[in-house]
Amino acid sequence: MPPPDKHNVVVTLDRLLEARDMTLTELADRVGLTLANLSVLKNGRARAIRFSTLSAICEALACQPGDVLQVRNDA
Amino acid sequence: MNTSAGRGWLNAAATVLGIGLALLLAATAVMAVQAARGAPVSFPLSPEAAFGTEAGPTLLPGVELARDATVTVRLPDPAAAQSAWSVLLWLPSTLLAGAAVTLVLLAVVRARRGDPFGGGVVTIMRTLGVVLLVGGPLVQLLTGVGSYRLAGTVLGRGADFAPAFTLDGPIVGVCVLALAEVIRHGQRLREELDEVI
Repeated sequence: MPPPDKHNVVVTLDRLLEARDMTLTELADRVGLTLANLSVLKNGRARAIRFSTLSAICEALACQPGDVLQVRNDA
Repeated sequence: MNTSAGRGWLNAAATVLGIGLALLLAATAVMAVQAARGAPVSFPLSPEAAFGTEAGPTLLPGVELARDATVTVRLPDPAAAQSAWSVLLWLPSTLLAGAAVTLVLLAVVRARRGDPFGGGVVTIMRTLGVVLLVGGPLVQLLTGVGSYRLAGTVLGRGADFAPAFTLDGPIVGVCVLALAEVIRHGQRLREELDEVI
């Protein structure tokens, strides 16, 4: 099992919000999360994301989980 | 869960514990003053110690005292040393009870003011566990010393040192320590969940 704090997952909310011309506050309202928590997620400081949160974000942004989360390949 | 109901219960518990602690302190102060003034002293003795192994109270044939029977000795005008030794019969257990109530009160107050699963509550519970684990037998030892010394002042032939050890304190102490570890485990799990969005 890998160490719990080490991962290469990148959250690409920034790009998605920009492409849809949506603010983080607006997304927080639509998803039902606090701005603080959504900000933690956007800045890559979250340790994990619930399926329910991911579903709500994908629904609000009309995208797939793979659009929100990507794995960075470090050489 | 209704948090206001939980908080109300904590308020009630804090009030009851606070009143209990105040009464305990007041009673301790009164008893200490009475002991210092040379108030009459009473303490239990086993029938064997009181009457000797051969002599005893005059009872009808076929009647005997129960093995756990005690005789209460009363000293209407105790000497200073007797008053001092008599303090050992009640002060250690009172201090232990006071320490336990104080620690529980502290935990309740912390839970009421802020985070019931904060580090402070675990520390308090661990302290309470150790206090009961060590304090229980210590109180019984000191009470035994007090009884032994008091009995020595009233029995011409000397008394046996036989403190009565029970497992009440250590058992409760271990249980409290176990509960503290349960709460600590819950803290760790919650710390993990804190960063889950």
